[in-house]
Amino acid sequence: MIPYEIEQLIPQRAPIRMVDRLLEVSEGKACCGLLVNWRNRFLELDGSMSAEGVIEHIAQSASALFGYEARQAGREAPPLAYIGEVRNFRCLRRPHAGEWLQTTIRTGPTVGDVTLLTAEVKINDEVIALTELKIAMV
Amino acid sequence: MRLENDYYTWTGQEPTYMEGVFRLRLQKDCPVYQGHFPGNPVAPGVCNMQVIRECAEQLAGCKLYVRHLKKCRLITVLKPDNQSELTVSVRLSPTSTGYLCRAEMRDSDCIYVIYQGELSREER
Repeated sequence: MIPYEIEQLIPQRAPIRMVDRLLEVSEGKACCGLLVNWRNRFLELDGSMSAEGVIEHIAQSASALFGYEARQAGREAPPLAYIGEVRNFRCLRRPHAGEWLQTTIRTGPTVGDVTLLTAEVKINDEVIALTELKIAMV
Repeated sequence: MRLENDYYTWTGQEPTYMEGVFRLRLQKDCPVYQGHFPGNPVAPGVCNMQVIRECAEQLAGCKLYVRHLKKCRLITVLKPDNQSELTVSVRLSPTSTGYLCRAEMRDSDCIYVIYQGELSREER
């Protein structure tokens, strides 16, 4: 059980908060969830979420992991993290309103302020998106 | 939702066949800045990626979906109080399902985004 509310872990707020819960953390790995709300800003007219929205959800999932690590280290304010690069992103299908996204982040090496990570987004057991990201911490 | 007239407004467009230069300005009062970040507005990188897609849609004349991003570099942090005109240069090349898209977003001082991806006409 993660003892923090999501807004204690990430600096993003409505209307662009794109993670509902940090579900699980282990060494270098985190799992986050988002229920795609019908008011989500990244929804298209057909009720599906854009790939850009999926990428923002992945980046905020990483941000939740960094926020958790900061809390564990005794820091209150969640760090600001920016996407530096998106590489090899694949969108296999776009999520729809009402679907629950579950995203696993695995962190790789950190060089200076930049952390490399990989991410996999699932709906139930179906992988819907994959990517590598470079996240810059400020 | 589309970001046109919400996150940005056009100041000019020079489309030709499969490539174009688009000029725009960010809208400082876009609601996205209430949450990104409270008291510290920063243009979300993914919104700039969507601006590039909307420019590509102008060239293609249809709705496009991101299928694959080979590489998208968000080089410089962009703040909405930067009211200089932004230029988005886009070049498309056709594929069986849509277009390969190479694009760059910049102003007179800085490059903000370099984008290389595959946009599909097909919903999925």
